[in-house]
Formats: sequence, C-alpha cells, structure tokens
Amino acid sequence: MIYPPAVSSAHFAILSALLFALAMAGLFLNRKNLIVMLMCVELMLLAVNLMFVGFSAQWQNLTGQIMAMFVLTVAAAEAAIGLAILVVYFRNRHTIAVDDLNSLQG
Amino acid sequence: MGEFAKRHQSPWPIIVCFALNFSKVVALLSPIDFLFYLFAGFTLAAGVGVITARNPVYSVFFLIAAFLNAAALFLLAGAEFLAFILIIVYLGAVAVLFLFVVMMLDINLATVRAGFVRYLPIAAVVGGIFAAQLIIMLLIWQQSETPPTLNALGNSPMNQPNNVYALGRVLYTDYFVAFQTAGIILLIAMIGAIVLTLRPRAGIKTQVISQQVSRKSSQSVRLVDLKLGQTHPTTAATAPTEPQEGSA
Amino acid sequence: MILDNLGTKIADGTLGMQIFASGLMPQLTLLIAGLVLVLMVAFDARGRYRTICKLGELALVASSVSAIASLYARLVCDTSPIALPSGIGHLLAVTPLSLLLNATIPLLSLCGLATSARWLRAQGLAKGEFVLLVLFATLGMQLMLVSNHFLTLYLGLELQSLSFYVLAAFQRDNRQSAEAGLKYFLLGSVASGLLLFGIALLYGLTGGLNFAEIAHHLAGKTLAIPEQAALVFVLAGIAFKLAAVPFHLWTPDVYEGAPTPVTMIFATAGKLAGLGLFILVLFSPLYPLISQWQPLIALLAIASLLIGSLGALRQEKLKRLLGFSAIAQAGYMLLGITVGVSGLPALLLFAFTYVVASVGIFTILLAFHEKAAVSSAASTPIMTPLSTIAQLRGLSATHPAWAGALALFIVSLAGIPPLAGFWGKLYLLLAVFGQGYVLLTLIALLATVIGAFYYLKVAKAAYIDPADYSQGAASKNKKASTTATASPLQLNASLAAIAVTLLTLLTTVALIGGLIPLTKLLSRVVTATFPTI
Repeated sequence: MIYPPAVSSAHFAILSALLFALAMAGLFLNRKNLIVMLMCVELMLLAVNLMFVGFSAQWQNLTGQIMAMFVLTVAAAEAAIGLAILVVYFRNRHTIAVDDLNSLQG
Repeated sequence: MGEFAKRHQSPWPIIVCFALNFSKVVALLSPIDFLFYLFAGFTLAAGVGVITARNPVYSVFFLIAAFLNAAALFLLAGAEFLAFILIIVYLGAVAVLFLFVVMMLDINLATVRAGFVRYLPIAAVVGGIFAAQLIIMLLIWQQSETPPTLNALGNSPMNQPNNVYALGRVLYTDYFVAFQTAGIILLIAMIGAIVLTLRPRAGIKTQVISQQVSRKSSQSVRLVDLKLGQTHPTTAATAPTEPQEGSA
Repeated sequence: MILDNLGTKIADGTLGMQIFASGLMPQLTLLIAGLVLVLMVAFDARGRYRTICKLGELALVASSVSAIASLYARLVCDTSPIALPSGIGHLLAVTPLSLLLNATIPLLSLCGLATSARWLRAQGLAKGEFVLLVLFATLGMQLMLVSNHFLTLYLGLELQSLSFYVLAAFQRDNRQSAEAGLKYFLLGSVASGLLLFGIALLYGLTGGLNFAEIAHHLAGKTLAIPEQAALVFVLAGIAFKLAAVPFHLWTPDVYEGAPTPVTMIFATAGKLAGLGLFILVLFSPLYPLISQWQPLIALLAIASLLIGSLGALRQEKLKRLLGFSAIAQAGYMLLGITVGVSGLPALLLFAFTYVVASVGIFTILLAFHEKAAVSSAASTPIMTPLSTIAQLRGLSATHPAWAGALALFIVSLAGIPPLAGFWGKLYLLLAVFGQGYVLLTLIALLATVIGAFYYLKVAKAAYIDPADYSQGAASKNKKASTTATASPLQLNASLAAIAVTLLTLLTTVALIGGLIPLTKLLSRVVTATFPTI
C-alpha cells in the first residue's frame, strides 16, 4: 500500500498547478459563456494565491502572503471592471457568447 | 457490471473492505495532512463544478465553495488573515457581484451551452497537457529539495505574536508604496465601473439634498384662515386630493 | 532617510530637494494631480471638460519635465542618486533608463489627450473620467518602470491595464468599442494570470520577490526545468504588453475597435511601456537566465516579424493595418533585446522613431475624424469616417499638406533612407548583425521589404492615387471627400502644433549629425543603468 507523503509546500504547488490547469481548460470549454470565463480568471488567481501562501510557509517569510493579499485586492478590482465591461457588451449585443466577438474581423 | 453483481451477491463487502483500507490510510495521516487532502479534494471538485455547471448561477456557487475550501487551506498554511479576507472580500463582495450580474443579464441557457461538447476535447487536451507539465516540473523540483512538512508550517516563527500582527507590521512599513498603489487601483476600478455603466436617465425624480436643507419654514408652511366648509382657491387648485387644512 | 526630521526639512526646503533627488517626482506629480482631478470630476460632473483636460495636460508636462530634470542631474551633473529609505528602496529603484522612459511616456499620453478633445466632444464622450483614466494609466506605466520588486511591477502593470481596459470600452454605445474592451480585458487578465504564476514559481525558487534577491539566487543555481518554466510563464505574461507573438491576437481587434485617441495611446505610450517592462524584467531579475531566454526571445522575434508583416499585407482598414504593423515592430524590438545590453541604445532609438511616426499617423487620422464630425453636423452618429485605405485616395488634391505629412510618417515607419525610421532600423539591424545573428538579420530584412510594400500602399493611396469618383465601391470615399471640399479644413491649433513639432523633430533627427549625439546619449543612459552587465 502506498502511503501519501506528509503534506508540504510542494503539495500546495501541485494543487495550485491542477487548479490553474483546470481554469485554463475552463477558458476553452466555456467559449459561449463570458461570465464563466471571468470566473475562470478568478480561479486562476486563486490558484496563484495558493502557491504564494504555500511557498510563504516554506520560506518562512511573509513576502508570499503580502503578494497574495495584493493579488486578492487586484482580483477584486479586476472582477469589478470585467463585469462592468461585460454589462456594456451585453447592452450592445444582447448575448454573452465570446464566439460572437466577430464584428471586428476583416 | 452484470457479471460483477452475479459473482458477488452484493457490492457491500467490497465497499466495506475499501472503507476499512481507506480508514487505515487515513489513520496513518496526521490530522493536518488529512485536512489538507480533504480540502484540496473539495477545492478541485468545486473547480470542476465551476467550469462544467449547466447554469451560471451554479457556477457562482461552485466558485464560492472553491474559495471557502481554499480559505481552509490558507488556514492550514498559517495564513490566517488571508483566509479571513478571502471569505470576507470574495464571498462577501466579489461572489455576490458575480451573482448580481448573472441575475441581471438575461442569459439564454441553451445558446450558452451550445459549444460545450464541441470544445470538450480541446479543453481536456489543453488542460491535461498543462497540468501534466506543471506537475512533472514540480515533482522534479521536489526531488531536488526536501521542503518542510506542513506540520511545521502552522505555527511558524514568522507569525509572532500572530499572523495579523506580523502582516500589519510589514504592510504599513516595508510595503506602504504597494499599499498606496493598491488604493489607486481600487479607485480606478470604481471610476471605471461607474463611467462604463452609469447612465443618468431623463425623467427620474431625484432627491436634491442641498435644496432640501436650504428650505425654510416660511417657504413651505402657510397659515390659511378658512371658514368651516369653505375651500381656499389656491389650495384647491394645487392639491385637490389633499385633505383640507381647515376641515380637520 | 527622507522622513527624518520632517518639520525642519519642510521649513528649510531640503525636503523638496530630497524628493527631487530621489527621482520619484514624476510619479508624485501625476499622483497628486490625479487625486485633485478626481475631486474636481466628482464635484463638477459635466461641463468643465476643457479645464480638466488642460490641468491633466499640465500635470503630464510637469511629470515629464521633472523626469528630464532628474535625468539631467544624474547624467550631466553626475549627482549620485539619493538612497531611498528601506521601505521604498526595497520596492522602487530609479534608473537613468526608467527616467528616460518616464520622461517620454507622459508626453505620448499628452499627445493622446491633446488630439482627442474635439473628437471626444463630437462623440459626446467628453467626460472628465477620460482624463483621469489616461493620467492613472500613465502613473501605472511609470510605477511599473521604476519597480525593483515583482509586487510593485505587478501593481503598476495592473493599474495601467485596468485603465486601458476601461479606455478601450469608453465609447460604450459603440458595439466595436465594447467588444474591443472585452477582448482586451479577457486576454489581458489571462496574460496577467500567467505572469503571476511565473512570479509565484520564481518566489518558490528564490524565496524573495525583490529583483536583486532573485538575480542573486538564480545566479548561484544550476538551471533546471523549474527555472525554465518560471521564465516561460513570465515571458508569456509580459509579451502580451508588447503585443509580441504568443499573445498578439488582441492587437488588430483592439486597435480597430477602441476609440482612435485611445488606440493612439495604446500604440505609443503602451508600446514604449511594454518595451521598458521587457528590458526591466529580462536585464534585472532574470539576467542570470540569459542563456535560456536569448533563443526564446529570438524565436518570438521571428514569429512576430513574420506574422505581423504577412498579416498586414491583406488589410484594407487603416487601424487594423497599424495593429499588425505594431506586431511586426514588436518583433524588431525583441530582436534588439536578443542582442543583449549592447543592443539597447539602438533598440531605444528605433523605439523612439517608431513612436514619433505613430503619433503623427494617428494625429492625422484624428484630424480627419474630426473634420467629418464637423461637416456632417449631427445627422447620423459618426463612426470612423477615415477607416479604410481606399478612403485616403485623392487626399493630396484636397489637402496636400496633410497628405504630405501622412506620407512622410508612413515612409519613416517603413524605413526608407533619409527619414528617422531608417536610421533607427539601420542601427538596430547593425547591432543584431554585429553579434553574428545572420539569420535573424536576414529575416528582419525580409520583414522590412514586406513592410515597405504595405506601408507604401498607404502612402501611395494618400499621395499618388487620384480620387476615383466613377468607382462604385468608393461611394463612401466620394461622400467623405466631397464633404471635405465643402468645408475647408479648420486647423485645430493643438493638432497643427503637434504635427509641426513632430515633423520638425523627424527631419532634424533624420540628419545623421543629429542621430549620433542621440545614440551617444542613449548608450550613456544604458551604461549608467546597467553598470555591472
């Protein structure tokens, strides 16, 4: 029987990598749904934060936690701007599908 | 499955066996390790929920679940303050903002789901390759160094006397430039959201506080001397439906 | 320490001197002006756009002037920079290169503001918030360029990006503008996610986020897969800002969809800031990985050159063509970075000539926007009257001066000999060739030839082709040129001033005698910035 190794900062990094990959896959998967794409971006930033916090514990300094805190702040600002732009887009197009982003082709 | 059910009359022995083995593994884990695997599993499951949910409202709820579990993981790594602001800022504000927008926009669920199956293979391939590469890289890294285990992480010397105190000490001294910049970023987010979405509509009755405050009693209250059963001509003209002052 | 004995320092004036000597004056100017203007906009919602715009322009000029003064003090008077207090010096570091870029970027934003005022008013978009967003975007770029820590770099980058996303969608009732804002936002936030992932890996590898700390730790390590992965993620994140190839897809769409004054700021100030970001990240914290990133950057350069040039060939829309041309120009800039520190002076010269020519082209595009807006008074909402190359035909007959200026800028961008753009490209390619990158030089030459073809197509349409009234396809063109002849061009003072300054700048720089001191100055800035490399 294989015993799971004792949890370390590497586990945080691997969890973060999995979550980041999941968010990337979500961006491809939800091409018709811009709100879920915005959520995937939030998920991406959460993955990065997990990594920062894990490494902060590994290195025993607070730099990672400080960075995670600012990433959190910026993510909130980004969500506000993103949703505002999404609302503007919806008012113009009455859809939230990214595949319809094609009036600029040519 | 039919074969399986014939040979073993019931699946329960297998399940019990598995559960016993599982509980053995769990018993070998330290409590903190067990909690890590539990919350990490829930976080990933919630992440899968976010990207596959049929309805954006469910996606928001899965996002909330992911953030809650991530907050628990932050606690395990000793980042108490971050865990709490994750719950307060994310669940209290950002998730609710998402929910508002999902509810506000009238989304056609059928069109939203249309490309889902078509994009599933490419998304799986991209995500799989991405995850595999990252994990291989991290495993190589782990072999070369031996990181400290989580049991040592929770109460680390950097968190003295506690995490909030330690963070506050560096945040307002060593990082105050960054702190101010973050303030400006939030200001820009506010200005941007307002300038993009605020539309002053004509014909809306709004409260003008300055006019309200500068009103004097001499302008608004008028004493009218009326006989019983008689209506004042101007009062009747301006407010016919109001009960008459004198009649009360 | 700046903040010791604050009272006495304010009294005898040394505080001001110390703040000036710290080199952070440009940022402080913009910050204070921005906050004052926020209050002005908040309490005076509409109507005073002109005042707010003028104040914003003043702040940008002041910021630029203080950067130039600091640079002069550093380079000519050889004053050693004042040591920043540990709380600031850990996060920010003012180098001569950052001062040079911080002097230029506000001027480019200023051009965007000055040329946009009348166009914005014609579109009903003259809101004070526009000025605020431009000011804070400039502040973000300046902060990013003086950062000495990945935290401040990220915050500066996000301040700039968030302002840019809003600016791209500023024309909110226009479908294309909303779409451009959304595209820019989505790709930009994914790019910043990748950058953050790279930063997190670097933090895991080194235990710090300060540039010196990271460089120190990376220098002592044997380089393996994790370092390379961190490098790839960081490169992917910053390539977006320069519109280099893996993240170039947004460029043509956003350039076309965004309001033209905003596109002008993206193409000039944003481009220069992206270049500064590349130089900052690659030559400071990631310099120990130079053997790893040099081939990668060369690859990106080749891809950007080819995709940009080939994509521009089949474009009929002007702003889209400029978008593809911006990708190709990013390729040239990456070539300069591949060379290493010795290539930076030539690279900077090239970037400045590119930026000046771009400002000129966008100014002229805006002048015609404006003219059509004046002539077809409020009949229909004006979209982009001058959007395709075909509409430029016959311009030399109606407006010879404008057509000549446009042709001059285009020819400079293409790199035809007597003009400044040629010398920028020549020095850049000589630097690349001098390092023995023959293949890279050949590919760049090929891209230059392709570039000359599509640039000259525009110049030919403006200057040589007669207006073809009989052609059915050019009916829009006919309408535009008839309205143009009906209302003689009202020369806007600010537009004319900018055009004239730029033209004189170009012609003076074009003289080889003017170029050599400039390259000397640039190489002096570079050697002062990277003394150890």
